[in-house]
Parts: sequence; structure tokens; C-alpha cells
Amino acid sequence: MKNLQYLKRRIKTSNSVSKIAKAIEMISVSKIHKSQEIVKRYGLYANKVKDIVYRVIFNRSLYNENCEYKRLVYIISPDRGLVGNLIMNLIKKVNSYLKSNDYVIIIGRKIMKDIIKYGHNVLMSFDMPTVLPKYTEIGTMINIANKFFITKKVNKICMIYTKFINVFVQKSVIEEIFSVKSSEFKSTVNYIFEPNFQFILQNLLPFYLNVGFYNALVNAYTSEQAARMIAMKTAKDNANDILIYLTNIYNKSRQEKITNEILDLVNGQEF
Amino acid sequence: MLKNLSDVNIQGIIIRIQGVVVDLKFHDNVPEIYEALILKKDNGENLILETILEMHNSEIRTIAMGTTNGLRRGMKAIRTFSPIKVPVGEKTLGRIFNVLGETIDGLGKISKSVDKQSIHKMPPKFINQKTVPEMLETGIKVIDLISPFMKGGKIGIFGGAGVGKTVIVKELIRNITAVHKGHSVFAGVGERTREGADLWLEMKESKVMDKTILVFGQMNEPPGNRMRVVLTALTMSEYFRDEKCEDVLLFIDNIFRFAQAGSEVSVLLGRMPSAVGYQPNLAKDMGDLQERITSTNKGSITSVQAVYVPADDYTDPAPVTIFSHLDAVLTLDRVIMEQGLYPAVNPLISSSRLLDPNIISKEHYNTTVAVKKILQKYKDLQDIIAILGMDELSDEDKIIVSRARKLQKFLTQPMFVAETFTGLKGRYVTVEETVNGFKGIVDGKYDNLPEQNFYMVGAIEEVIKKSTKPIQKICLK
Repeated sequence: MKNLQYLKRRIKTSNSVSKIAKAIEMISVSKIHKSQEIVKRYGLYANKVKDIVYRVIFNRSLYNENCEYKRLVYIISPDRGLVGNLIMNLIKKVNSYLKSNDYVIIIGRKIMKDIIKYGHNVLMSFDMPTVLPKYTEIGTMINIANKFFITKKVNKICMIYTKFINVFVQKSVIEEIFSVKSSEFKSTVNYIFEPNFQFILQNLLPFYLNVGFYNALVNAYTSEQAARMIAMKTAKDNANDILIYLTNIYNKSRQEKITNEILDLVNGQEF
Repeated sequence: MLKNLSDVNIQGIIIRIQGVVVDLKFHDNVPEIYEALILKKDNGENLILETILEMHNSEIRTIAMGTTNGLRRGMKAIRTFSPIKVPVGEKTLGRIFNVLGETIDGLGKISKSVDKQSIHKMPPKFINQKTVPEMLETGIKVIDLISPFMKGGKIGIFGGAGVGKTVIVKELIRNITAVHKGHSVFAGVGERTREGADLWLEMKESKVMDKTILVFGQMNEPPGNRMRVVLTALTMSEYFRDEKCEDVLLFIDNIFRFAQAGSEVSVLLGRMPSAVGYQPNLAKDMGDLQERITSTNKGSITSVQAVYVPADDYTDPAPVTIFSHLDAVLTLDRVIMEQGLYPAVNPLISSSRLLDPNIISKEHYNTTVAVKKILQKYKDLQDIIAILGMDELSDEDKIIVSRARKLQKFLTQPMFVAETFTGLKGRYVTVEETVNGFKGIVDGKYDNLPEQNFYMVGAIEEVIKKSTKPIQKICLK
């Protein structure tokens, strides 16, 4: 006979965990509905911008290629847990990529502790937006990158984030938004620039960074919601399974207790 | 023993037979409580009846120490003027007995000149009792760590049906008896006859039979036999303790059957059933028996008792009553067995009176407490893991979980007596090795070794050896 009081308490816990999981799941579902479409469309747009930029800077040496090897790395993670193995994958990616002389900018609190643990050079940290961020809101996050890149403090800007593939699959990726090695760029046309190349570049590059960053942010945001939705669905199902199992034991033990008491009474009666 | 068989004064006449309970009427010379009566059956066999209850009109109620087939009203039983007496002493060594002290190993009767003692005795007096707390090494990691056995103590192995109680008892017999200098007594109470036969053969093989006595009252025998067979074995071991001043080992498999046999006859004896149908005097029955299994200033009896837990219900009155008499408790758990962890000891509810830093070494004590703490924490986390998965745990909790899993695996051990089941050679691990190994895991020394290497091994050195072995190259053709 199991301890009924103890069982009752566990049933109560599983029940409330199940309820909370369900609530979180619902929130994620509603959020993902909005952002899923945006991710898809913005991805196309970002690709197009990338394409244009690559074509523009074709065959030109932008910056001094011999500049001190330093990278600026954006890491985009969720603020909170309950997202299954998304954070673990992200940390694995980060640890495999990050070097000690990298500048790091962190978005999302959850990964902060792990980055600091390895003593990386964290320039800034932001919270992950709780609603789908607007394009106009990312200024403070990306400005420093622009500055660093233009002043040749860094020669590479990377983003480590979770790419949204579909609701069930999210992949941690490292994306080098901008690298100065112009030889990688492919284009077949030689453009004529008006008024001149430098002017175009000064306007185009910040814009390109913004678009690339925004794309990563939206992807990360949507992945987080999707991962959370799936994780919470599993959690809810697990909690319900446990609930059924515990209720079963509880009822059995309760009935057993009653039956035993009846048996004792009946046995005594016969004398 | 018998003066005159036809003497009416010492004869009783059967007036009622209810299963194994036989009522007799005497003329006026009524037998005493626990006195044995002899009844000659028509087929020439003798049946022993033990007086349990005196009623009015010189009627008595007895329990038959054998089957009551062929009995009828009007048959006569004769007083013996003494309780059941069983042979004791050197001559009993290497033999197998039943409840009445008759040999059943087919090697001939024991000679008449042998000493005989009553199976009913008073427990040793208060002033004669003595215990020196000293640990008894068993060579089984989980026992030595979690529930160290005491020399001269009483150890209970609790478990439901088929969780491996008998295997542990047999392993203990193998490990302890071989090293043990004194004599051992094994009482088979209400368990399978086959197990008894196996044990006998194994003991003959390992050449320990000449210092061992086996006493059997297995499940095919009537409740009277099963009720008294423990006393028979106990009387034989008491002789070595009291007369020879030896340290004796007493193995009982299974003490629960003693309580069960009592409950089988209880109602027939006219007692009102108590909780869950047990005899109302369950505590007294058990107390009378357990109080005799004790250590005196002459010698000691170390007893290992397997306790069957009906329907895995630890609140059942029988296990509960037995529980209070024990110095060390080893609890076997079905849940642990289902995970393939053998021996299936649940470390969280197993304990020992010896677990005291003043008796065992401080290091041992601290390690045991730390191991229990980690396992308890793991148990608390299990609900979270089941619902949210490992990823939601904090880093510290993840380490605890990984260590706990290693501890769980390391608590397993291949047994000598189970070699045919596991295919692994048995291991004997000294207490020092055990404590060292567990201390290392708790301190995180082996955090980098893979978990499965801790499974079914002996000392920690084996884990390290296993882990450093180069991975075998797989050739694909």
C-alpha cells in the first residue's frame, strides 16, 4: 500500500505542471503563427540583399585584409529555458567556434552564464525580445557592429543562432554575415557606380548588416517558439502519462485499503 | 520413553480433526503445553502432535507435525512427557534434518546416543546478552557500503516474490561460510524443495558441508512443520553457541513462512484473526523466536534471514513485525530489478544499526551518507526528468544525475552463485575497495568514464581498466 498522502501530492504536482506546460504551449503556438510567415518571406528578402551586396563588391578589396584577426560574434539564444535541446545545441556550436580573442555580443540571457564561464570578451548583452521584434528596433544591437567593421576593428562578423527550418526541426548555425575576403564573391557583371563606389558601399553595408542580423533574429525567435511549443507538448504528454499512472496507483491503493478493512471486519464477524 | 502403552492415564483419544489441528480428550492426566504426543497411524507411521491449547473437560488442542491423512476419531495418542527434542552436537554436522530432528538425507539414522534438546527454550537472560559491534565483511559492495552486517547481529533481506532474496542468501553462504571458521546452520522454511537440494549439492561441492547443518521444512510440508522448523534449526545452533562457545551462522530462508504457517493454523486453533488475517499473537510468536537468536557472553549467532514481502506491501503485519527485530535491513526493490540492476537492493530504504562513524571508519560512513544523498537527489529529480527531459536541469543537477547513474550501476555486482544466469564470473570486493570506489565516484574522480563501464564489475580498478582499453577497430569488408 503506497502512501496515499504522498501520491496525492504528486498527482497535484503533475496536474499543475501539465496545466502550465499547456499554457506555455498555447502561447508559443500563437506566437509562432505570426512569425512563421515572416521568417519565410524575410529569408527570401535577405538572400536577395546578400546577392546584391556580393555582386556590388565583386572583385574589390574592401578593407585591409591584413588587419588584426578579430571577429565580432553575435550569439542569439532564448531568454528562458523550456526549449528542449535547443540551448544545448547552441552551446555546442558556440564552444566549437568561439576563440578567446573574439568580441562577443549576446542576445538572450540563457546562454550568458556559459559564455562568461569560458572568459570570453563580452562587449554587450541584450534580452531576447518577447514579441516578434520589429526591424526598426534592432538599431542598438547592430550599431556597434557597423562601427567596429567600418573602423576596421574586426574583419569578420558572425552570428550563431538557431535557424528555423520547420516547426519540428531547428538547426544551430554559424553564419558569417560579412567577411572581407572579396575573392569568395561571385558575379559576372561589372557595374558602374553613381556617384561612386565608396558612397554606395557606405550606405549599403550597414543596411546589409541590418538585414542579415534581423533575419537571424527572426529565425532565432521563431525557432525558440517552435522548440518551446514542441518541448511543452512533450512535457504536457509526459505529465499526463505520469498523472494517469499515479491516479491508477492511488485508486488501487485506496481500494486496497478499503477492501482490507472490510476483510478485517468480516473476518472478525464470524467469531 | 514410554512406560506402558496401554496405560489409560497417558492416553488421549481423538475427538476432532480439523486439517492439521487435532483435538484430544484425556482421562484426567492432561499433557502440558508444548508437550509432544505420539500417535501410531494404521499404516505404522508415527505422527507427532504438539500441545498448543488446553480446553475444558481435559480436552486439549494439538498441531500435527505431519500430515493428518488417515486419522480418525477414536484413535489414541500417547504422552511423551517432553516437548519435541532434536539431536544436537558434532554428530549433526553435515546432515539434513526435518522438523523432528530426523535425518532426511538418506545417509542413515543418527545414532541413538546423541544429545537431544527441546526445541522450546527460554531466550538468553538479559545479563548474559552481549554484543560487540564489529563489521562482518560480505564481499558484496552494496551490502558492505549501505547496510554493513554486524557480527552476532540479525540481518533481514526483504523482498517481494522473485527479486533475488535467495540468490543473496546463497551468495552470502558462499562468501561468508568459506571464510568462517565456526559452524553454520541453514533453515529452509516453506521455500522450494529444489532450492534445498541445490544448496546441498553446492555445499558438498564447495566442501563446506562438513561444518554445516541443513534443516528443511519446505512448502510441501504441513503448517505445523513449517512453524517449528526454525526452532529446530535454532536449537541446533544454540548448542554450538552455548555449549561449544562458538560463533555460529544461522541462515533462514524464509522467515516470513514461519509467520504464514502460524496464520494458517491460527483460526483452526480457535483464535480470532487479527489484521490481514494474521494470528493475533504474531508479535509474540516472532518475539519468542527472534529473542533466542542473539549473542551471549559465551558465543554468538549471526543470522541472515530472508523475508518475503507479500504483494510488495511493506506495511503487511508480518514483515513489519520481523523488521523491528533486525540490526541490518536490506530491501530489494522490484523497480530496481526491472532496470536490470542486480542485486536489486534499494539503497535508500536499506539501513544498518552499524552505520555509525564510531563503529565503521569515518570514511566509510561519510561515503555511505554521500552516496545516499546523491541517489536521493536523483530520485527527487526523476519527476522533472520524466516530464521536461534532461535538458532543463541545471549544470549541477546534471552532474548529480550522471554521478547517481554511475553509482547505481556501480552498486551492481556479478555473483558467484548466479554465474549461470549472468555469464559473468562472480566478484568478491573488500570493504576498503568498495569504500574507495564509491568515494571516487562521489568526489567526481571518475566523471569522465563512460557510465556503462560501471555496470556489473567488482572494484573500481576494473572500471578504469575497462575504460582505458583501446576501442576495438571494426573491420568492414
